[in-house]
Amino acid sequence: MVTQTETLERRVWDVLETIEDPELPVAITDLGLIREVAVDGGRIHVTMVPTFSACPAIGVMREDIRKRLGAIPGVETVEVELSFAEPWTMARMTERGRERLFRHGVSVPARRGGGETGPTGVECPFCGSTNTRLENPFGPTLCRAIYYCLDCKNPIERFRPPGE
Amino acid sequence: MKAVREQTIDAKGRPIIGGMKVKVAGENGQQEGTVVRVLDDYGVLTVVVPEGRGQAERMYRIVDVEVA
Repeated sequence: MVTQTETLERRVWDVLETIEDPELPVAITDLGLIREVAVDGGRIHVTMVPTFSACPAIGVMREDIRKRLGAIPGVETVEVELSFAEPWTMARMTERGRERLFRHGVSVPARRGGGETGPTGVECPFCGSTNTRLENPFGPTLCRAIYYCLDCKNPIERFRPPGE
Repeated sequence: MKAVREQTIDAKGRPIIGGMKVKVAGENGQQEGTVVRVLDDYGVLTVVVPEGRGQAERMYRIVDVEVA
């Protein structure tokens, strides 16, 4: 039998799966930004792991979560807390998230490092070549760098995880 | 709303069902809890974990827990 709590839990995840990072075309759940969710009656507490501690998009996402979850019938309060206890790594990103970024033209590092070949190790999302070079370590956002594909001659955005 | 299976597997391929003990990485290191519900299609489960003098239900990603 499905309880009221379970129904609310499902609604919460239905909503979280539709909230995107404003700087990346991927849901916050696929980025692995949600670490813990507590549903206690009408009170919801969400714990997030930011990709970067200084990520300027985090405020937008927190507000988005508050508003969207707060609109679910039966929800009274929504708190969104940031957690820095365990740093975000590429391993937190789901396969679906990686595919979405790649389809959007953003190259994504290997899940746990390694497995990448070529001069830079960066795979072109347009032609699949790894014959690429770094153009600018500073892309349009903190978490993106600009590369250039020497084979298909396209500029590439590369998701840059913390520490890279 | 998605369909929900009541069991799943952890990262090491071990089955997880309601009532099982699992380890969860929490704010204060790893803690142990008991699985209440598995929402497999969302990739999450609900675990009862110790909190203060009592206990509380928390939802985690399945990939973030392992069988204790």
